[in-house]
Amino acid sequence: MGVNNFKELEKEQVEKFNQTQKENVKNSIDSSIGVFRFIGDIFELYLPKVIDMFVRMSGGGPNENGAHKKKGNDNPKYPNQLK
Amino acid sequence: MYINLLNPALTDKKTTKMSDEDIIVLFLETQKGQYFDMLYNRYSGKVYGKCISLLKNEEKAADAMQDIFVKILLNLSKFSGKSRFSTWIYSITYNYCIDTIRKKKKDPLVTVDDLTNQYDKEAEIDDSFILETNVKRLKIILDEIPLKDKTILLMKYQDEMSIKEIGQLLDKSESAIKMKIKRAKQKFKKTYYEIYKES
Repeated sequence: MGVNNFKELEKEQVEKFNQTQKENVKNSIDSSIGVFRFIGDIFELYLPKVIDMFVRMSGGGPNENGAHKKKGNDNPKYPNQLK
Repeated sequence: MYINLLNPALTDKKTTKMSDEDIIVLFLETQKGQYFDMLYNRYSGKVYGKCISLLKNEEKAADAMQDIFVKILLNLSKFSGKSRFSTWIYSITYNYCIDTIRKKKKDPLVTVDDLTNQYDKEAEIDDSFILETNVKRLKIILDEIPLKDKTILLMKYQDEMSIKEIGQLLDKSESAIKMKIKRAKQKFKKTYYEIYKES
């Protein structure tokens, strides 16, 4: 295989990246991911409650299946209308 | 294979032989940090090398690395396996670094110079001229030539990406990439003779 000094240059640059730097960057990545996870958990925990609150505010309520539906829709438009 | 590797009795020897794609599958299935650590250990040095080569600052390179690996982690499920994992990681790295430099310098990667270029008529330069330039000089010349030329030479000679892969990464046709490589090589040679006149 022929000479490729681009690879040698890469080796030099990789060697410059010492263990301490490697660990520092890894710790920063872990803390960033930790923040993302925390935000994700908050959303996971509270988002359904917030949606539920908006649904209730707009006049909806949970039906027997746990899903939301508008209270007003229970009554047919006309008295003799078949349900 | 994957099921066996999930066994806690998994040996280090086995994990070091695992392909990147196998590690990604395991990570996506288990969400265990140890699999991401394996990818990090494999590629952090090379990604750092590219960041420092393009950004020319250790602190900025470390910050860039952090952002790049967070991006990789968050987008790992989007890796389709159409290209090599290394190509995918390097494309994220190049795009990140180029964007960072562009934001700072407002230096477009593609210029009018690309469309009508004086180098087009010149002869093709032999790869050996570039590949055999000694490391110290190589580093100096790469720091001297424009970012677009440096990036494409790194992709071709350091990352050994195919014309097709570079084309996909830069969203250009294969013929456009061949032309860009030719121009980058000519720029490299011109810069070489400007710096090392005696050669």
